[in-house]
Amino acid sequence: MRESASKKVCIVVLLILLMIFTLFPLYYLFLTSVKTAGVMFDVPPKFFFSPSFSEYVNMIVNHKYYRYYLNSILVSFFSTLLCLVFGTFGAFAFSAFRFMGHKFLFLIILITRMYPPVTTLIPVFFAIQYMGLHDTRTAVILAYTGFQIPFVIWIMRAFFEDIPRDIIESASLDGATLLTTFRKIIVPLSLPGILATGILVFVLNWNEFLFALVLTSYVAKTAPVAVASFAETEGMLQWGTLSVLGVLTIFPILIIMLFLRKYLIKGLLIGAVKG
Amino acid sequence: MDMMKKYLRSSLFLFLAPALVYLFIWRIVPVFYTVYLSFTEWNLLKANAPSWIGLDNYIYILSDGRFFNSLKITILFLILATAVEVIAGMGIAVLLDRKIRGIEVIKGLYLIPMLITPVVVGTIWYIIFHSKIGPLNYLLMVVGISPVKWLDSPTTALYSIIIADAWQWTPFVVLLVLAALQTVSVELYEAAKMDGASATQLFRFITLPSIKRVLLIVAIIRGMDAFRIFDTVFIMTGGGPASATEVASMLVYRTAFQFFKLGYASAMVIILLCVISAFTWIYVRTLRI
Repeated sequence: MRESASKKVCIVVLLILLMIFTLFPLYYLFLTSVKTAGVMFDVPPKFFFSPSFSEYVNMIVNHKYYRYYLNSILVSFFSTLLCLVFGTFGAFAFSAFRFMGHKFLFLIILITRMYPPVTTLIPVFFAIQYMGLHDTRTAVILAYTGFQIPFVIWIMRAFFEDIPRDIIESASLDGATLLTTFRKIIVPLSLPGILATGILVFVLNWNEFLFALVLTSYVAKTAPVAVASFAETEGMLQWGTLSVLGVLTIFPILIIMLFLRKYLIKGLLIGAVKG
Repeated sequence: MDMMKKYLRSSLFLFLAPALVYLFIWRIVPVFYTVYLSFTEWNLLKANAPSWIGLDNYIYILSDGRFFNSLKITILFLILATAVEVIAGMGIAVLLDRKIRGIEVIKGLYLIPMLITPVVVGTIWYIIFHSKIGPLNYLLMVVGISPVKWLDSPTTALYSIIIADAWQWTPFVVLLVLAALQTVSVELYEAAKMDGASATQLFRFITLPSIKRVLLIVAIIRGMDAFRIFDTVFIMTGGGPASATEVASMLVYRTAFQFFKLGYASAMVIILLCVISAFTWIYVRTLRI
């Protein structure tokens, strides 16, 4: 279909405005992070100046910010791994078996993901205290795993249902146990799906804040909590430093977005639409 | 396939048990413990263990203006944020749903905010709205509009948070609507155009019906999210100024971990759960999904 020239111009203008609205806030965060104290408060805000990366070095090297980074990486990675193991097993059960009450059980699992996180905050806080795990990475990993298992089951069930049942049946006739079939055939077949789910769960875990805030205080602090506690203690005055921490926190996500966008979007779509 | 059934059944437990046990311990038992706590008084500063007080927490909540204020703010946020995001999302999806050069790149860039750490989203918009270092008021001044107090005033703080929320979550609506638009057949549009349908008619009678289901799902998801919002509020306003942005999760967090009234906070959580259930039920019933 042909569109008139004026309509085309209109669309291009709208697209440019949309891109500005989307990207400008991110760009401004970066800009603030490389401003020196001298240009920070200039009115009108400066957009062209010689950037200074000294605050990055200062935060990472002198203030050992990499510790929080390391915490976030470890916590997100291991909780994602646990979620994928528990979740894919569970999802396979729901796609391969039609047992009594499977619908009801599936509903229960989904409901555990629907209520707001704050619902379980107090009991989990005490369970962690009781086990003597407060301010450990283990505590955060344990809590996060509980959040995302239903999500993995939800997405992976959709993937598993695309695998023809004949495969399971013929493998069983060959004498393979179901566990072997799962490990050797089902998992390799659905590896792209598992990868997509894993990346998404990793990002969700990386972004989590409320539980990390309550379950850690110093040693096991994650990157988002480090941003928030800096904002609190420094009284929101050290803008440069705060935005340095912000940029560092979202850097891995931007990298993931850049290279694995296809997987992320696939996971997001299945996660939301198959409702 | 009786043998097959037997074969499968023998391993059912093996596959199901790990996830179920884990969820039971970490997601289901805590809910019941919260229910129990809601009938107790447990002030961390005074006592080591919860003491049973029956319905007292609930009776007290009925006259707690602060709690009702936070419910009101949460529901206002729910309605406004959902409305803005669904309407804007629909428009943007239609805008992006065309085959022109570079559109895939634009779509990719547009989806970025959705995955940005919410705490950092809060930081970004705190800076944007800031009266001294933020660019927004300066831009307004250039266009000739007098500066707005954004996060510093109780009347505008909630709207400012909704802008930040829309920046992050409208892309989610767009993603789903775009996916739904893929399923609309081009022939249908062509045929309607041949019959002389206008652009508005095309949208009203072809586009809208085919994305209706997705819009309803989005409305439900975003509705439930409104009861979760915490991170951005924590960073941008901390619930202020003067409780103007004290959303439900914020109030529960404060009651439990700043005022250390655990029993009372638990009662708030239980009432919230009832409100959420009611909301979801009304949605599902009136929208008939």
